[in-house]
Amino acid sequence: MLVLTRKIGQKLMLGDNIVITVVDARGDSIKIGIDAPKEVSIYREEIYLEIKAANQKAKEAPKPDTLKAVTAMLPNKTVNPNKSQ
Amino acid sequence: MGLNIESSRFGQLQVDESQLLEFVSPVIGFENVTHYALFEHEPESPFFWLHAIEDKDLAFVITNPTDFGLSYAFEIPTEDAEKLGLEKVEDVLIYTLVTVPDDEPNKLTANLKAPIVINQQNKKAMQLVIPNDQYAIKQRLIPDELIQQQTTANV
Repeated sequence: MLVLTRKIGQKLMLGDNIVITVVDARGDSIKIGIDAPKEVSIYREEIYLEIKAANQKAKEAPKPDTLKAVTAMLPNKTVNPNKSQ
Repeated sequence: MGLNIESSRFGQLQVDESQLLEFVSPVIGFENVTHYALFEHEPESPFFWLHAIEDKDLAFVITNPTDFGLSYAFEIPTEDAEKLGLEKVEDVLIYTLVTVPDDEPNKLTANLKAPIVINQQNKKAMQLVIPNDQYAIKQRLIPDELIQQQTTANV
């Protein structure tokens, strides 16, 4: 891993179209600005990992019978009170 | 125009071109898949399938949580609306990934934190991450009370 020191207001270039700016630093928090092309997705790591794990879990799609059981349980196919009353 | 896709769950699947989605920002963790087919589980069912085109083993059950009586509203950031080419809010379709435990199917959950947002005009889609803590990654869709009521009713 590359580790370097920057001052507030200074920037880093990642390739030629991603710019990271150190906006502010206070105590143990730093504020970062990111300019990146819109096709680059930016996530907070802990949230990225949490959602990745949840997606992985969702990928283990239920057995056909399981989904049938759930669908059968839903009154009028849905439990939305606005629709089923 | 119909399209045949391979599916390890459904075998040969025929989908219409209008059911194809192009993900401009991936389902997180599945960055190698950009095209999915969206189709209903059964007529009238609140469940739909999001089936990968490039991976015959990859399919998600999705639903709109408002069909389960949950209130659900969030803002789509401008950058994401641009990625999706969204022009008006009526073009938006919202679904959430559903996890159904095979041993306790009534404890199914939806990921409200990271919905699938679709522009139904141009069929561009993405998994959006809602930045605040308003919504849970594992939101139960059927509350315990309702399950108990049903159990009682069945006795």
